[in-house]
This record gives sequence, structure tokens and C-alpha cells, in this order.
Amino acid sequence: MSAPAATTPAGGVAASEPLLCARGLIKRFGGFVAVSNVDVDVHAGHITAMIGPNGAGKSTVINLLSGALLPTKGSVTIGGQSIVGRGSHEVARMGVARTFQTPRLFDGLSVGESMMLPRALFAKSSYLECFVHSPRTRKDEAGGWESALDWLSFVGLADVAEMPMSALPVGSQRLVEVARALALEPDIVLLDEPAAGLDHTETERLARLIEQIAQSGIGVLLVEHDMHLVMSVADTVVVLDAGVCIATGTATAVSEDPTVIEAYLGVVNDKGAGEVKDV
Amino acid sequence: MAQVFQYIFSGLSSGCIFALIALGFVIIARVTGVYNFAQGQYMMVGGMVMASTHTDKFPIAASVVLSVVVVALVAVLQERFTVSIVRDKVGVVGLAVISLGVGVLLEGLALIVWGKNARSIPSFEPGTFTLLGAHLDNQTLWIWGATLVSLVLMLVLFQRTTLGKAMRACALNPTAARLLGIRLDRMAILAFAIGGGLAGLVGAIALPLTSVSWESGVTVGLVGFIAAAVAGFDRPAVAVAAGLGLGVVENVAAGEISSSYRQLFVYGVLLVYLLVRDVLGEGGFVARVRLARASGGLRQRRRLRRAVSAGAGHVALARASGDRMRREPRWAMLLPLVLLTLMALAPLVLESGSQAMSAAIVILLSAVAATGLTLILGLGRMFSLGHAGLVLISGYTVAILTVNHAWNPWVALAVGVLLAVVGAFIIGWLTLRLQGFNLAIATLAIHLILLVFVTQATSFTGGERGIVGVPALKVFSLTTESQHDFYWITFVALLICLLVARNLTKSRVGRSLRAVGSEQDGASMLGVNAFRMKLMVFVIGGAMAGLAGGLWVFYLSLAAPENWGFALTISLVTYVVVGGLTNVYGGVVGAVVVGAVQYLVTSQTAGLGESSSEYEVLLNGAFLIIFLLIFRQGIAVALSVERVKGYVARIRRGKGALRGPTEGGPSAGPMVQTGTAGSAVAGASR
Repeated sequence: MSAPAATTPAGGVAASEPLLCARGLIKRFGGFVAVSNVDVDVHAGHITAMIGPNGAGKSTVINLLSGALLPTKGSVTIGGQSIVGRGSHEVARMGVARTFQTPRLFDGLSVGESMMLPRALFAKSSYLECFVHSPRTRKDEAGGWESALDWLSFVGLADVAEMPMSALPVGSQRLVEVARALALEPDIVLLDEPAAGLDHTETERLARLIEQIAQSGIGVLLVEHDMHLVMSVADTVVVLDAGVCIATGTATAVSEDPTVIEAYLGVVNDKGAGEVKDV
Repeated sequence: MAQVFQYIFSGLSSGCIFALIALGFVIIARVTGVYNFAQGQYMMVGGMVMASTHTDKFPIAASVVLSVVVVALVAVLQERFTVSIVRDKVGVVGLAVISLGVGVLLEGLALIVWGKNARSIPSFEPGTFTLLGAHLDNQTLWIWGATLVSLVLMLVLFQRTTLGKAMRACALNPTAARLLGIRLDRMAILAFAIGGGLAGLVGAIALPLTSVSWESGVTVGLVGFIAAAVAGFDRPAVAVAAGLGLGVVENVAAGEISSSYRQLFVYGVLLVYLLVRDVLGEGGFVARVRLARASGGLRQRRRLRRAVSAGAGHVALARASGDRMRREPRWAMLLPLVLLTLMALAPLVLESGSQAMSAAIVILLSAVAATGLTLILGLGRMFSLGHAGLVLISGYTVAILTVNHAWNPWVALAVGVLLAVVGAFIIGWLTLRLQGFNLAIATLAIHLILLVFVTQATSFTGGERGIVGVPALKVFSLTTESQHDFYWITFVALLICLLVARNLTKSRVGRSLRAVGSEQDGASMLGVNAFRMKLMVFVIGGAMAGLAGGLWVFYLSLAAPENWGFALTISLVTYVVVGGLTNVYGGVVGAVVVGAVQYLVTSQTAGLGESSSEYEVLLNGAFLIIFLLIFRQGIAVALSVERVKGYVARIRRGKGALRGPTEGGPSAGPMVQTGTAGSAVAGASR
């Protein structure tokens, strides 16, 4: 494993093997090619950002990496093991957690209860014990609730545990999603536009959070429209356009790449300052 | 060869009936999202109107038109007085059950108005014709023609006209449709009118080849439902094709292979079709295996990492509030406790051998099975229509083992429950990957196959007569020969089931399933194995059905097919929906309330002489509808902990409104307070 690398200067592609490694990903929906021959690497402790205009195939890539979609072709491995054909719950157990562009609210569960969902993987009691509500089940429940609160307080939301998630503002919902992903204790976190709908302060806070996550050794793949956020945290940036990877490199290198400027930023006036939203 | 064509063509005629019923299902579902189980009864009403207006003085065309209009009117009334009132409030299953109630109501009305006898009329133009060596009644052409014209008209309506597109939009996205200026209520009325009109038409035109009685709607409705489900309740042409196919399969199989197993082929073909489609389809089993180059099992998670330590202060704060949430108020159990106490006391006031005692026992047995179904329907959100099949498996096992093999009753009961569990596991493993109504028809098909089997395999199961002479079950000084003792034994079984159901719901299994029911993809990404959770709950629910079935046999001291038919499934679903899908006690509450009302109706109308059963049917339907109109989420839910907690919270919030915003403290400050809709918009537009 590489050392905590969130602060590694730009250009720091880790020397170690990538934790998550996707090669030649292709996804067709009928005749439409959503993703064409894309390679993605996520290294432990690194933040890889994926940017691109709407419809570039970013979310499709996340869906392919997390097992939500089957690729038409290509391979995805985590620590050398293929995940193609596995259900998302298996991929989650293998150490890949993700958040969604639209936060999953889990109606009928409180925020704290939804935080306990990933903690079920760490339960020590058998299902049979669940039927009789054995002491070990009770211990699991109490432990799950405690760690749920721990993760919630990590994102600064410990006091919303009792509330239904739909009652939270969207910014908090996104942070709950991040906390839930972390509660899986993953090796890799895939964040699908976590800053959408966040205001400036919240985005700043999110940036620090992402850095903290990477510092702890988790590999982060960040799909994001907010260029400011991407520029401030990403070690490596992958640019997609119309399903094709058009550039890979450090944030600075990519933002100066003429192909990228043409495809994504349009005419760039002040590099890194333009937040491209609602293209 | 001519014989085969004979089977095929007469199969096409009955297929046309299924097809038009299926078309009605599809149109109503497509526009309103309602799965209208009264569709078969619509056809029955159409046939009845036709039969009673068919006189020399009245032109046939006028009779047909009258049938269509009357049924369309009935359908519109159903839309106005049930669907439009509770749409969006009772969910898909609730709406389906209400329509079942409407169907029963129509049967009751038909029984009172037209009596018990079956009716038929001569062909419109008597005579036969020959086609490929097959002799066919002239009426056949009327039926074929009507089906073809109806299908074409529907296709034109939905594909070519703005009206049709507007109608489809209603079900796809009601809110967006409303915003585009589409009048949802008018579209719904129109859809029901068309669906009803089609059923009325087929009822009138097919009458000469069949006959109609008050209860003839059920089977036709069932096959029509199956055909519509094959079409995904969406494609009219596929629905018609499926209806025709089912008619042909049934007739050819009955003629060429065996008429006593005729339905077996229909359901068998259907089941194979559903499963194969699931396995071969996109993202199905085969596709996954083909693409998976992964070898070996899942690696153990390498290490668990506590990535970050939490701020102690926040945790303390959260824990304090957390404890509050996780402790239920003491009086939370009040309603179920009152109900269970009443049930426990019931035998003290009921005389052994009285009708009331028998009714109480059947209610209790149903409650055991319904508790299992509550888990399956409510917690697992699996629309199983085969619950009575699991009751049947266990019931027959116990009867066969005790009577034919003289096993100890307790061992037989254990084996019965075990076989129900194994059955549930196999059925679940096969069908739980199917979505929504495909699951419903697959489970229903399996139940119907079991029913055909126990009815036909006479040497093994005693056929229609069943297996008689089941010995008594004894425990301590209690014996199932005594009604009171039986009641106590079953009551203990019910308590055990309720305890298991409650533990399961509160455990991580219940939580995971609630998450899956709400957002399956989100839950999966958090490591929840939705299939395994559903299968587990399906099997537990099956065990409860098995327990009910095993005990049932000791009560009746016989096992016969009519006890565990589709009607039992319908009653069980009704109990669960009326009682409350999302509450553990829903099945019990529903069984007791509906069962008690049914008993009272029966005993009150008993004095009316011969007509008692007529009013019974009518009132059952009426009560079903009324319960669902009043207790939209079910009785147990309306009076459940969560609801009451909600009322309490509302009162508290009223008092504590002032300190609300400041209570959050600095930790949650910026996130909670600034992330309002306003700032989100501001952020996005920067």
C-alpha cells in the first residue's frame, strides 16, 4: 500500500498496483454506445476524479465498476479479482462502496437505521439467532447503532440519526450517503457527484472529508461537475467525452489539454475557476 | 389431423375470451396502474345481461350493445367509488384486493338478481362451417371477429391517437401527465369504461358457445390475468397472443393428452416460460455466467479499517438521543395485546361444538398462515399468490403420513412443516428473481399445479374426497379431538409465530428488507443480499403456512383439496391487506376482524332461509371494500406504534418548535442549517 497520498503533489500516480483496475470497458444500450473502451485505475489512498460533460458516460462507468450494470465487454478487477458478473452486494462485500447521484433515502428507515445496513456485514450472530433475538443479536444491534453514530459524527451529522432521511436538506443527504459508504469499511469509495446541490461552505467541507478519506488509505473515485472541487483534491483526472476517454493526467495537465478544453470546458477563460453545471 | 385442427380452432375460441379479458386488464393497468381482478366478473355480468335480454322481441345487436354499456357502467362506478378515492393511498396490492372485493360483490349481486342456475343462449346465426376439416359453430366467427376488431381498435387508439398517448402517460408518470394538462380522472374513467366494455362484449358474444353462472367469472379472470401478466400489463398485442396461446394449449393438451390434467399444461407452460425468460434474459443468470470470468469464491475481506475516529462530543450527544429512539414506548404493544387477550379468552365463552367455536378455530388457523403471509407480502414485498399451496403441502404430508403410514402425529407435523419449508425454498429459489406480478402468477401457477395433482392422483391423495381419518394430536392432557384443546394448541403456535415474526422484523433482516423494498439498488450497494433476505423471509413465511396446514388437518381430521384452494389465498391476502401489510400483527388483526364480521354476517343472515349464502357473498365483498376504504394502510397500521408515535411527535413538535433549530448545536450547524432548497439552488446556479 502506498503511504497516505492525498497530499501527494500533482502527477503522483502511485507506483503500487492499482486496487481497482478496469480495462477496455464497453457498455452498449441497444445501438447506443454509452462507454467505449475506457480504462480506470484507482489506487489506495489516491483520489482519481472523472469529469466530462453530461452524457459522457461517467455514471455508467460507476455503475459498471460497482456491479450495478454488466459491461458488454471489458474487465474490472479489485485486488486482482474479477467482479464482472457479480451482484452489487458481492462487490460491496469485496470492498467497493459507492454513493448515488440521487441519494437513496430509504423511506421507512431513519438515518441511523439506514447507517446500520452496511454494518450487518460485521454482525456476529447468525440469522437463526435473529429469529429468537438472542443476546448476541442484541449485542450486534447495539454495536451497529454505535458505529452508525460514529460514522455519522465523522461527517458531522450525529444528531440527525433519528430523523427520516427525506427530512434532511440535500447537502446533508449526500453526506449521509458518504457516511453510509464508509460504514462498509471499504477499500474503495466511488462518489457519484457528491457536490451537486451543495453550497460553497458545504463543498469546502466535502473536499476536506474526501481528503481525509484518502489519507486513511481508501482509494477514491470522484465523479464530479464541480471543477473547483476536482482541481483542489484530485491526484489524477480522467476526462470522458461521449463515452471515450480523451485525457488522463494531473489536474493541471488535464485542464491545459486542448482536447479537453474543446470538448468539455468550451472556451476556457480562467482555468480551474469555471464551475460547469447544468451544461 | 382434422382432430388437431378441431382442438386448435376451439382452443382459439376460448383463447379469444381470455384474450379480451387480458386486453381489459392491460388497458386498465396501463392507464390507472390498477390490476383489476373484477375483470372476470365483468364478463359474467355481460353474459348475464345478454342471457336475460335475449328474447324474440329484442334484436340481438341491441342485447349486445346493452351488455357492453351495462358492464362499462359498472366499471366506471367501480372507478368512481373505489379507485378514485384510494388511489395513491393503498398501494398496488391494496387496489388489487379492492378489485377482488368488487368482483365478489358483483357475484353476490348476480346471485341475487339472476339466481344460481347457469344460462346460455343459441348462436346468433345457428349452423356450422368447416375449416381444414374442423367443424365449427358459426358463432366462432363472431368471437374471432370481435377479438380482432377490438385489438386493432385498441392498437390504433394507443399508438396513433393523442388521446391514447395521453392515457398511457397517466400510468407512466401521473404527476408529469397532470402538469401537461391531462385530466387523470377522465382518462381513468375512460380506461375502466373500455376495459369493462370489452369484458361485456366478450361475455355477450361468447355466451352461445359457453354458459354463464354467477361464479363463472373467476376462472376466466384468472387465465386472463395470466395472459395479461405475460404481456407485462403493457403490450395489448402480446396480451391477446398470450390469451389465444393459453386457450390453444389448454384445448390441445386436454384433447390429445389428458383432460383431467388439462390445466396442468397451461400452468406448466406458463411457469416454464416465465422461468426461462428470466434465466435467458438480459442481465439474467446465463448472461452473468457467460461474462463472469471470475474464479473462486469471494475472498474474505482483507482487513477492517476504522478509518477515522469520531469526535467524542458528537457521539455522546448522538448516543443520548439514540437511546431514546431505540426504546419503544411501553404501551406500544397495547393493540396486539388487547386483541391477543381477547383471542385467548374466547374459548371461555364459546361452547364446544358451536358454530362460533368452529369459526374461531378457522380464524385462528388462518391467523397463523396470515402471519407468515404478512412477512412475505409486507416485509419482503413479494406478491405471492401461492400461500395456500404451502398450507396444502404440509396438510397433505401430515394426512398421508398419519393415515397411510401410521406415523406419530408430532413427527408427521414436524415433517409437514419441514416439507413446507423445503417447498417454499424451492418455489422461492425459482421464482423470487421474478419481478412483481410475474412472481404472483408463478406462485399461483405452482399452487394450481399442486391442486390439480392432489385432485387427480387419486391413489396417493384420495382425489376430491381427500384423506380421511387423521388421528388426534396429543400434548400433556390436551388432545386435538377437543375443540377447546385444539384452540389452545393453535393459539400457542400463533404466539410463537408472532414472536418469530416480530424478532425477524426488528432484526437486521427486517431492516435490510425494508431498505430493499424502498430502494433495492441502494441497499445492494450497502452489501444487502436482497435475494437471500427475500428467500429467507419467504421460507419463514412458508414454515408458518406449513404449521397452519399441519394443524388444520388435525382439526378437520381430513385433508381435502377444497380446503386449501385459491379461495384460501384470497382470504389470506385479504386478511393481511385489511389488517395492515407493514405491521407484524397485520395478518392476525385482519383475520380476526374480517373473520368475525364474516361469521356475524353468516349467522345473522342464516334466518333468511335459502337466500342466506347469497347475502353472505354480497356482504363479504362489500365489507372487503369498506374496510379498505376506511383503513387504507390497514387496521393494525392505523393504530400502530409508528402512527401513534407520529401523533405524539406532532404534539411535541408543536410545543418544542422554538428550540428546534438551535438544538442541533455547532457540530451539525452548517450542513443542516444552510443546505436548504434555497441555497442548493444558489449553489447550482453559481
